[in-house]
Amino acid sequence: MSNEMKPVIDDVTANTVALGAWILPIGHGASVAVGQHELKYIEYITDSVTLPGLPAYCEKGFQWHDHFIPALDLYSLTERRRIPMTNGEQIAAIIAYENAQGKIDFGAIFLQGVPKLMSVKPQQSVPLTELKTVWRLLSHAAFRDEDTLYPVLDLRCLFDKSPSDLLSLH
Amino acid sequence: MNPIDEDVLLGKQLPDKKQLTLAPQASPLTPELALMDCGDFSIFIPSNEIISLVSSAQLVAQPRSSFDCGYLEFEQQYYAIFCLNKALQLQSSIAAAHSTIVLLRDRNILWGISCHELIKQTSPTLSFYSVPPSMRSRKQPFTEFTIINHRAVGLSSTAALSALLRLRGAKLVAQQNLTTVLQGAG
Repeated sequence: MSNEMKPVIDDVTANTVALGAWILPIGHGASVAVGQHELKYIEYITDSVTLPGLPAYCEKGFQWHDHFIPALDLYSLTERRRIPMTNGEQIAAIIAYENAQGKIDFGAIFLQGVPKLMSVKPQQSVPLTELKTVWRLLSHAAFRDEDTLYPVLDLRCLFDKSPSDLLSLH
Repeated sequence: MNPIDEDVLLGKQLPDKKQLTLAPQASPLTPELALMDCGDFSIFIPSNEIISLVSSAQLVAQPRSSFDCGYLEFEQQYYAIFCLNKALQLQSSIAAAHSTIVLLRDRNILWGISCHELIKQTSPTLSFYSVPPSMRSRKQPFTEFTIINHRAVGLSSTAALSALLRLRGAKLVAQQNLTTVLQGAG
């Protein structure tokens, strides 16, 4: 099943432009954010394949139309524990990002729930230093909503680096 | 403060799916390939690089280091035998499910690798994907792979496997020296 994500919030006021962010639940209450237009599809994945010689967080991917989509388990990356599968299938957010060559590539993030579109105002912005160290290195912005801090993922950093390069940031 | 600008949250105005660059590169197969099923992973190697297959029960010498599983003799030549796990680490004994040893030649170096089974590839054409950047490792003995029966199969070669074994610390000895080395080891 493929559901193209449609923007549902377009909150423009006279003085403040609210931006859209998708909130992605990645496991055990943790969530991250990506830009509204970076999330392209949600897919239920039953047939992921594994490549050898990789850390658990990045060893899986799946075929999607004519593409092979690398899929990241961010919970495993940050907490060193795997995200559990339910009935042999996983939800994945398929995102698009601009790679170092300026071309558009796809990647996926395994989810523990359905994403939620949130309207974010500039005054909700917080310094990256408020994030946990691991998220500072993987994010290029952050914002607060009520009591929750959300890292805004740097997708090029996550998907355009080899695992050894990414892990050397830590 | 790190203000949230539109580039961050709005992202790029991406083109429609039809305009996106396709990640996989389809390439026709030229050499005949054999699929080596190692249980935790699978690779293709060119059939013309395979010297023979033997049973893993034929090992005649004990391991000389923690990097090999022992040696066997085939047609008066000694072959160091290796076994790789899912993390592509060398094992000091052959995995229980590995009943077959594939004997290979990389120039004048002879060695073997254990696997579950070796299957001749019969499909006339296969499309291969490049390994995405986030799934690349210098340990992988391939840069392209295909998917067969819901499993990834890397496009490898004896030379690429030799490079992996050396990277993992294995001592690959040229054939003319090996007999002497084994005799010296007693």
